[in-house]
Amino acid sequence: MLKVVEPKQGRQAPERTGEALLRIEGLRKAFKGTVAVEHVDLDIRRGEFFTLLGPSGSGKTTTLRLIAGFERPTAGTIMLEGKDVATLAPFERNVNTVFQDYALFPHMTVAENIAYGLKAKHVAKEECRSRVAEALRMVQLSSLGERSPAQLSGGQRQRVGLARAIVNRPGLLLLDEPLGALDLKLRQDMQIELKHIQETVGITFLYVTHDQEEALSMSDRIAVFNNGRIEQVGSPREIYDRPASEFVARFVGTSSIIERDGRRLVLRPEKVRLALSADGFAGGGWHVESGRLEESVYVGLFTRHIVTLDGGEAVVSVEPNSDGSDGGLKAVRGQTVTVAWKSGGVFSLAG
Amino acid sequence: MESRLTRILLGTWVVLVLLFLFVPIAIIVLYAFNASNVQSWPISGFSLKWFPSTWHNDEVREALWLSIRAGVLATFLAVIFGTAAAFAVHRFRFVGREALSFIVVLPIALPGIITGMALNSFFVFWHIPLSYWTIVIGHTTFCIVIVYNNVLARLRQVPRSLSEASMDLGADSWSTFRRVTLPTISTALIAGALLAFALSFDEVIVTTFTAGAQNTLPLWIFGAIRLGQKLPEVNVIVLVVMAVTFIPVFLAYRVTQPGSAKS
Repeated sequence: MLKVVEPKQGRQAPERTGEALLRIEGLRKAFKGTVAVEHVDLDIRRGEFFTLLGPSGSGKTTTLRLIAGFERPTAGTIMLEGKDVATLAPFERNVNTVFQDYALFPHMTVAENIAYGLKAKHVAKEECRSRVAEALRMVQLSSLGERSPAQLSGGQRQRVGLARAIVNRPGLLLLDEPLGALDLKLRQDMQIELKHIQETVGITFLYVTHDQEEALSMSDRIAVFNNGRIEQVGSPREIYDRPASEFVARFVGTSSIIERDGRRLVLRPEKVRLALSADGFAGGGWHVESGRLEESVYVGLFTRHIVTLDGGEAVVSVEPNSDGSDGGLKAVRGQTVTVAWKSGGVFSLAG
Repeated sequence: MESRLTRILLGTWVVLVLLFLFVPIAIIVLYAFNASNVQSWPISGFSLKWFPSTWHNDEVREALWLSIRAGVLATFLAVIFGTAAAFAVHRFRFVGREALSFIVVLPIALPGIITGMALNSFFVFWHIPLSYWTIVIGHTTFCIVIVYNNVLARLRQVPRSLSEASMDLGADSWSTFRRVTLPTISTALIAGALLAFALSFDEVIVTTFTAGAQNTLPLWIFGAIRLGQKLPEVNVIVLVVMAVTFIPVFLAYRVTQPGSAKS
């Protein structure tokens, strides 16, 4: 069993409510000849920021589309607030979606886009206007309500997409790689903002991404998808520190996997130390081996070393470039170095 | 870089091609203002007298009116059926989908004479008298293609996520169509309709086989030229028809240009 739960500072841990907002059982979706989602079980709690993480084609987006109602499942149930919605049309479900390509209506202004869902539900004009204004304020676009979507930047368009969804106050908000089309800097800013908005409105977010860093930094819990199945569900720390399978170990973060005494060990690069001699590693639970330095790559924040152990396996180690004076590892390519890790810092894969 | 000579030769060639295309049209336009009813070069004098005389010609009026009525109705039917077919082919995967898209486009690919003869023998076989309605049916066959192609091309450009977003926000299928899909394809629809009308308005071959005793404007012109009668009126009509067809084609071109309003 997975046991480490990291409480979030300053907000109620969603685990405490214990109530499943969305419960998926035995979900399966087959398209002609291919199975996109094999057998997915999932419980999402109220108020959670839950991420479906996986490479493209792993079934995460199909799962999201099944929950939104854009696809009908081949088998399985989707219980939303205690009701099976698997066969309902999208407009009969209390969920809203933020699309990767924004999907803003080009013939409407920003404000009209945001008001679209409220109008469809016949919300009174006055209330509609104030909720649109509030949503615009939340995404910091108050002054752009009369613009056309074509006049906005990519980041602004995605804010409108977000406002258009949360203005309806859905029970569950689905986000399909919403930051995928943005450049790195903007994406990082938007990650923080999204997380902030989620905490403000208290809506449950179901987020789809293939970016493991994004998943780790934003989520309360993550489900890692591979080949239409879920490999592991857990908090970011659980996923990173205790991956349940080799796939998870390799997909989330960087891992070197080696075999010792019949056990397959996962080494995270930041937990592997290199030195010219074994002297510094006496005592303190260090496991020491020797190897040959193959490559050192300076990448600004840290230096990445690749070492071939005497056993033949390649291991990656990173060393922070904290201070220029002591210079880190003074070894040249091809030199023999000592490789060390603490047994507490590695873990073995099941099976 | 091409040499100066190449550029001059290319420029001359372009001018020659354009002259080849447009000189006959220019001459017809000039003849419409010819004072004499004998078509000879140079024109004997400038006159506007053929304009009122054409306007007061009952045959011309009837033919013009028939052409307009047939064009409008054929365009209307083509918009309905062409859009429906485009939606079916775009939205759904069904048995015979490829066949349908091929059959819909066929009338424009087939020589008009085949479409005309086929329709004619069909009407004769079922003892359907040739009339206004048979002209409309004939024109609708190729007008559908224009609307279908325009709408289908636009539908393929519009991301599927737009209608998904609409349904996701609580709008049912019908209001999604009305409030999202229709506005996004409207310019393609208008362009298709204008082109379809222009095509119907000057169609001769299919009309020859599907019109009874009546004359559409192109048929009247064709008859007049063959008999060598009323040539000044023909010149006037050609001028007017050119203007009338140019406007919708120009508008269609404008609304489908990227960067124009809405798209």
